[in-house]
Amino acid sequence: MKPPKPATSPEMTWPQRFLIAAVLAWFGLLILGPAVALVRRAMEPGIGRFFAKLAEPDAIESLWLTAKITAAVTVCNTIFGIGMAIVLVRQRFWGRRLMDGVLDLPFAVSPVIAGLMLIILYGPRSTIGSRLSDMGLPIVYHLPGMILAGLFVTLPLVVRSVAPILEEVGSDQEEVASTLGADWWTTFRKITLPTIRWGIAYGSALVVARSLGEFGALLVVSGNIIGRTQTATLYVHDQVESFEPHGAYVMSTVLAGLSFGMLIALEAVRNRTHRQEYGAEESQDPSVERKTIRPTRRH
Amino acid sequence: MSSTSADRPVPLGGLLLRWSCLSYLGVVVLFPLTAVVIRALSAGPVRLWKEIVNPFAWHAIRLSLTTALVMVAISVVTGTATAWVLARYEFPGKGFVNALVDLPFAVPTIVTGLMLVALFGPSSTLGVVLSGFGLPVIYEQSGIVLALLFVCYPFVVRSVQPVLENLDPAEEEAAATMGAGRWLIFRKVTLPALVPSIVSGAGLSFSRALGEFGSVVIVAGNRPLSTKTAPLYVYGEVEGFNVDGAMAVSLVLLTCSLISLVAASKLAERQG
Amino acid sequence: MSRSTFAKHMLKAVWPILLCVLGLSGGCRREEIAPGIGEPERLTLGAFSVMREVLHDGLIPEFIRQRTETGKKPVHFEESYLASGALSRAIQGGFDADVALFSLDPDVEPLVKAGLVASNWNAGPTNGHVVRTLVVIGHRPDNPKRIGDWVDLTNPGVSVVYADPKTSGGARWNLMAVAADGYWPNGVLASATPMNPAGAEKLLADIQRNVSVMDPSGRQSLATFLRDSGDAIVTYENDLVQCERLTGRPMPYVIPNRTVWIEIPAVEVIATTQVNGRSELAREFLAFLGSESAKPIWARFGFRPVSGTGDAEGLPPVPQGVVRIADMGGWKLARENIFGPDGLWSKSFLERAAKPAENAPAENEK
Repeated sequence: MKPPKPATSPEMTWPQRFLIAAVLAWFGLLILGPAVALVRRAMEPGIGRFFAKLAEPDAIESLWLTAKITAAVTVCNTIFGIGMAIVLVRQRFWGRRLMDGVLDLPFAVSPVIAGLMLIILYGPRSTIGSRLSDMGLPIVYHLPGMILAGLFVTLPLVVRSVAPILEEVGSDQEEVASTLGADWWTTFRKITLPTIRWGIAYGSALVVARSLGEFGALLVVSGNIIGRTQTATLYVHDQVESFEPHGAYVMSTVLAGLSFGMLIALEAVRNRTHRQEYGAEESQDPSVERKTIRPTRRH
Repeated sequence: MSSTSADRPVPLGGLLLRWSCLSYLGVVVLFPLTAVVIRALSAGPVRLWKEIVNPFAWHAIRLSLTTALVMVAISVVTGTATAWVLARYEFPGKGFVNALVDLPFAVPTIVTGLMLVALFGPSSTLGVVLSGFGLPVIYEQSGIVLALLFVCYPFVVRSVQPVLENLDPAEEEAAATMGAGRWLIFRKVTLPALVPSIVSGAGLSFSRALGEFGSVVIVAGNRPLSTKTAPLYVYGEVEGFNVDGAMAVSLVLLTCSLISLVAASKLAERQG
Repeated sequence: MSRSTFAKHMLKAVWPILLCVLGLSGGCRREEIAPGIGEPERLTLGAFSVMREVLHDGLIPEFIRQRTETGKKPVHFEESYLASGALSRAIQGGFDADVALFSLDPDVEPLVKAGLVASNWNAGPTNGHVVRTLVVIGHRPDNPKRIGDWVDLTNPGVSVVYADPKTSGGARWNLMAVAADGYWPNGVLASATPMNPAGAEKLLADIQRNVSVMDPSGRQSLATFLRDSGDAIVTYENDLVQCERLTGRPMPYVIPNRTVWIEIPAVEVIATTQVNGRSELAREFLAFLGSESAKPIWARFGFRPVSGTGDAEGLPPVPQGVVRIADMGGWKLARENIFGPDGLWSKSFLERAAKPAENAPAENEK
């Protein structure tokens, strides 16, 4: 398991420098430029106005609703995502290929259609929806519908982060454990979970980021009722519609900052944990850690 | 490669897990999706066909496909280059760039649109310069490609990067000792190993691009027969109470992105 | 050991987030408790996006004030502002609005058909409309492109912005105004002369050629105009007045001699009010919207009264050539003749696409 030494040397050739410069220029233009433009516009009227905007009750309530949806979606899709990854990789059964394909469908469906689909199926005037609503569980235009939309949109993320790792490590260790008499829960806890934990963490982080930012499906499912079903992204949309671009930029900065901060924190935690676990002498080379643990996000 | 456990009888716990996962998948994805497809097909094939070949719908579909293809072509080159630079070289600010690659995932798509208009729009310096060169970006088809490039940037990078980092350097070194030049090594040794991950990244980008709505709706200008992409068309038809038209075009979109996903995974499997 | 360090670091990363969430939740709960004394009546209000400010900042506070003055129970409003078509679909799909304001009558029709709105909603003296406004052309300060009437929008080098009639009810009104000028050019008396479809098609096509952005909603269209795109915007008069009030930027506009009255329907969704027992409150609110005491508020936000000449304090006089949608054969005819698959608007595109000069939009980029 010796990692490859990156082909870096202090004396870089000119073509290499040129390549790095080109990549950085492209990156700056495409990713950094817009991000800086966003933050600049959010901060333009001053830091006080930034927080004042954020403290408005509509903004706080929309953030709180987004937090609730994100929490529910992340918990559900992480638990079931792990389960589905295990089923997909470790079990062979009729329909496994189908399952594999269906898992990617949420990527392929335009969010507007995803929302429409939930209304067709669970809307209060549909058969299922009216039943549920009679039982006191209205779906569409209420919190459950928005959670469903979030679940749909983010379903593949955890599975696709965990499954490749499971596949790569194989099932030898698990089998040894079970021949030694460990029950499946112990095997899962002691063997499987530690190997896939970074995949889980990374997948869940993506789920959080994606559900913080979901817009199209929520616009259709929520009814955009201020203070009841208005999420943070719908708040952004509303601010654009009421000629308050500043409010839109502020909330966007917060949303982007939250998910981005999370991704960075994850990376940092991963590097630190790894250094502690694998001792100091190997961790001098930062690429070593990444090599062994970065989950391949190959969907 | 690790299907040794496949032949053993599955224990009860495993079966339970399997069935709960499958039902979850059913309730969240398969069930609603089937409802939509049934709803779409209930209009009848003739009606659907008419809705698809309607010149407005047809132009929108073609525009979506071409912009997505152009984006994928650019993204494959820039994405691979980014992954290469991040995996192989050390330079100041590398950690920062590496973290920021995921930014498009973190930014809500409407915000993406606003950001791009703020930077490249007609009132910005860059926008004025570009349209001075006769290359206006925002509210033109090139603006759509730009938005898609932003949104799909992480896909190719993040699928190529881990493969590049895990690549066994022995072959490259062997080729180098045999006197092969850098470019030849890249073309003959490295690139073939990267192809599966590039392809799967490209497939994902393509299918994501076909459905992209939030950012495109702001930068595209939304003019029928000019800059109205298929998702925007679908949205318009839904709003205009033409659900059949919306469903017909969505079916086409769904089929195209499914094909691209399946083709990419098949291609990647064969190469890998 | 490995798992415990993992957990420790995870916790370290997570606790600030947890704290934030807790803090937020605390903040919210406090606010929920405060107004919870006295158990107010609730009214859920759905309206199309243009109505946001006049309702939220003007009419609703006034309504609440009047009710407390007369000693009635306080009302808590739940407000939803969507595109008119989306609102109609949402109510059909079960969104429990008690009162709804739409951008145009056809959005009410499916609700009547589904039995959600009484079929006699438009029987009153004002045909169910509570207020109206005009389609106007907004331009840049000092009018550098000399825009005074519809025909000026067809000039080469003028970049026009309006919303997409597919998604925006307001945009349909806007195009109806253009069509009206094409139907009866040069101030011919509308009721006395037959419509001229060829004229309407030409004007629609010529203006469309100069259009650079078609946003999904009227409001987004105006937001685009505010971001310095376009030389002229076709939109509601009240929206420009509103925009000037909110942003402090001058939003000059001209009222073309030939334009249409935008008539805004407000309905009680009986399917909801009857279930929730809010019928009385809903009717009281609807009556308030049409009352004398609401008039100055409407005017302050740039709207014009349904009755009389339509002149309002602080707004320019209504020009001679204003027509109503009824003069043009109503929405049913408009939908077929203009927005339908064989309508003038769709045709104007296809003919242009058939001609080789397809790249028209590229040349009007300023």
